[in-house]
Amino acid sequence: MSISNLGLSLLVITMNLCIYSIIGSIIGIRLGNSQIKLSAKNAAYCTFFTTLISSMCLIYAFVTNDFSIKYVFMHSNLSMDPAYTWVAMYAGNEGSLLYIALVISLSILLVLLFKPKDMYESEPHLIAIMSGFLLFFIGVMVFFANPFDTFQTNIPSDGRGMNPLLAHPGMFSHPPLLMAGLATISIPFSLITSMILTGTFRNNGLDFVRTTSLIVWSILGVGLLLGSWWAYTILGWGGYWVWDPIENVGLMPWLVMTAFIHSIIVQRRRGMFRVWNVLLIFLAFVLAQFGMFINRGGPVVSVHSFAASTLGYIFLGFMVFSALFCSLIFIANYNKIYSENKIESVISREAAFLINNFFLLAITFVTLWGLIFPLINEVFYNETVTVGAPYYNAVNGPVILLLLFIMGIGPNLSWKGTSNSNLKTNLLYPSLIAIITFTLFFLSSNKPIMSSLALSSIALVLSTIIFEWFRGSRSLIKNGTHWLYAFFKLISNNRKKYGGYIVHISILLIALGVVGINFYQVKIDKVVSVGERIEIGNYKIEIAEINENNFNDRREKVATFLILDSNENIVNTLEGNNTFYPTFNMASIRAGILSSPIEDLYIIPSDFIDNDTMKLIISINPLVWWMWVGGPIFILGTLISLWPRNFNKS
Amino acid sequence: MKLFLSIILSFITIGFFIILIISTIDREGSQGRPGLNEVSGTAEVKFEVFNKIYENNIYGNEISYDEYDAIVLDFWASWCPPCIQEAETLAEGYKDWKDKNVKFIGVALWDNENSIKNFIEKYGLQYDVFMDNDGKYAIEYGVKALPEKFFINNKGKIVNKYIGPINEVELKNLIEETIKNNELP
Amino acid sequence: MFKKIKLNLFILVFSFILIGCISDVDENNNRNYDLYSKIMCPVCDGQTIGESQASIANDMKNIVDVYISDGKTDDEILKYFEDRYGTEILSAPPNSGTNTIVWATPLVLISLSFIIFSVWLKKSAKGNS
Repeated sequence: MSISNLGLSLLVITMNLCIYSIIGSIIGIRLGNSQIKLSAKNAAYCTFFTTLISSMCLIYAFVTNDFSIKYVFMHSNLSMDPAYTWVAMYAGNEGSLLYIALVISLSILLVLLFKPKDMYESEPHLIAIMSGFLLFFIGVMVFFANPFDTFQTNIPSDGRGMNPLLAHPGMFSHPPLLMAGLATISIPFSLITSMILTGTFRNNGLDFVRTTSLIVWSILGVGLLLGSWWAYTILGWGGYWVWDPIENVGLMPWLVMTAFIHSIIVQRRRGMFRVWNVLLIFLAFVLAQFGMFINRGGPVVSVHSFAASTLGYIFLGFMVFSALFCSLIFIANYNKIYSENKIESVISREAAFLINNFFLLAITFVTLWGLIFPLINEVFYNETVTVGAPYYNAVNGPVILLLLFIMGIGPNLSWKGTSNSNLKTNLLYPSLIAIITFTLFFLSSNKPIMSSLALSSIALVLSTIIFEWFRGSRSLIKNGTHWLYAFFKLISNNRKKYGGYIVHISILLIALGVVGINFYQVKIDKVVSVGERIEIGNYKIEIAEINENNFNDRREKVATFLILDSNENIVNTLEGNNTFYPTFNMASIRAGILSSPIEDLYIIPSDFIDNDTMKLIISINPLVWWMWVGGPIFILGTLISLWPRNFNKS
Repeated sequence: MKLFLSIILSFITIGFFIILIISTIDREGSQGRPGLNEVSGTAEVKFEVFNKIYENNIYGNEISYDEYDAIVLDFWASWCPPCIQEAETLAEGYKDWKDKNVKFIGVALWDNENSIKNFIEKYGLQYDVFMDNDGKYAIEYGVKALPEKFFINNKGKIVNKYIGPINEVELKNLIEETIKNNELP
Repeated sequence: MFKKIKLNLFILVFSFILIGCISDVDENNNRNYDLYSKIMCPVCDGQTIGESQASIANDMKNIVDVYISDGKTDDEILKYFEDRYGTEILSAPPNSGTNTIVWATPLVLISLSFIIFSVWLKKSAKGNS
């Protein structure tokens, strides 16, 4: 039996297992038969193992260069770095569907294993919904996009190769995390839906929903940030974020999830916003399906069209289906979900969370609007327009700024309402610091006012968090504890809260990088030859050499730069390369980056004119380093707030 | 209030999906994406007046702009596969039309002299070809993909623009349409 | 006292919105790069000429440079490309004609829903206290 047959058969088996577990769950619910329910559950468990082996078949085919499989032929070749054959599986449409199916089946397994025991009532519903979601992807593969399709005759001896833009270390982390994040939004979605259907949404399980949504949200967030980092190291992608449609469809579910993980706190603490939370998770789920659609055959033009296919209709259909499903569930169970939403005071933590939700959704709306406006324009006025970065910067910029501002105010407010004296003591120093920051930057630089406002908001949020910490640990320090110990003690005593603050700090760092590169970047371009020197800022750059390496599938030109200090000593060597792939008629350019917390020196060999002359674009990007540091801190914060309360006991 | 809001919201949602469906269907029908070489069909240009190109052709001879009934201006390159695909059609087309007062001009983009000359000899192109290495003329005409052709009538108006490799029938139809346009005011 | 703080907060937030909307976000110290980011590359999917290395993008950058040294204004340069390639060559639609909708909708909708939202919030808070 060939590997392709095995892989496909396993997919067909998975499909049947999914169907079985859906039907079994439904019959089990109807008859109240726990035997049938259990059997459906076991079938759901099995889907993971069949999907896993099927994925392993595809990976095996890639690693062994089995070009009889069309998908392997399209996305791999002999001259590719062997490391990439392990991950080329998700380089195109069919394989990435298999990867997504694997992620979903794994999440079914994990959810069923780690679900709290008191959630047994909603379990069959949960299994049915998640298996249904998995069934969709497996079905698409079996009927429309079979990754194991083979050549019957004329088996090629070499493949076409992976899209050259994907040959980058980022390939190991960004695509799998982003796809996993988008696919696993189905976990909190199915949890909540099953709880609604069984009428158990009120009491138990909220903690588990929060945990899973935090995990999903952080996977998606890290995936997005890694994408930014990848784009930053490759020129042509214009820095870290260009508001491209496919970037936007990844961002929107994340924004809605961000709103969700904030407002779920209110539901846990105060039992409020139940309707709102359900709407948010439904919206996030539908937006994730929207992303899937745009990515795989949507009607927009994007720089990231790696998984483009002709299956647009199917994904659009599934998106419409999920929207209908959500509306039906919502309308039919509105009475079960409804809760009294009474805010005690406008100046309270609850209100701040709501305002935060408002702005997050506003950004989501603007992003969605910018994405579909060209389509509307095309349909109604038959005119093609582009809605790109300048639009989003101008419209979303101020809203993001307001969101930052709320981040500084919100944590100072208490639940149910804040007394004036409290507010005054909490906000006095942070707002003073913010005002000083603003004045300083506004007077000292000729940058737009937005930059000073952003920096002062960052100062406001940061000082709020620091003062909060200070206040919290003061009583401990007074009792004679060392301040460092008090600091950690405080975090471990209230992990959810302080984990959240650490995540806030990471967002601030990202914002700092954005301000740095957007407002303080210095950029020049110059045609230079080997041996020449350029001075920019405090840097002296000497062009050392240009080497050319020829491979079967690509021509690589590598430029080496020496960075000199004032005494003409070489402090650093940078390399930038420009690789041309004739099969794809595509060039991929890697920038030489010298990174430091203060600023990045960023050199791009944009064009080679002849053997020793090239066009360079050199820029100094201040503070970008902090943006990438934000990533690990983001993960750290999420982990701290996820760490189980009774970990020490168990 | 609640009812009002939900009605508005559901209308917006339905409208959103309808827009998505329409544009997905649209996209399947016409491959309007720039850069794809299968792009075919005609499209309107906003910049619609013929700008004469005063440069010498690849052999150093001046291009004449005497009165023609139609001008076919073709942007191409010797390295572009669809251009190779249509080269013979154009060579034949020129022979058919040169006695009927139709001028063909080829503009080779981002190319070098030797490959152009080889190309001309290989496919027997007899009309004027010149080089546009800094894309000046291509941008002047709003060229989006190679090959891209402009059909210009005797009043200097661009009647049609054609993206992608052309076949004999389409070439004939478009030239005839251009000539027909000459009588129109 | 309570009212005062509320008022201050409100004014602070509001001035933030106003200032944010008025100020030009895309102001850059380098005019050339600023213009590059406003023009799409006609043969690339979703890249501006600043980001793209396609031949046509490089040629378009050169034209921008030449026109800047000729003393043309930004609007004139953008108009040149728009006349030849249509509105889609601009990375954001101009705020004129039917394209006003794309700019106005978020502004109108967000401020409108913010008003509704704050009225609801206030009402809800009052009903409780």
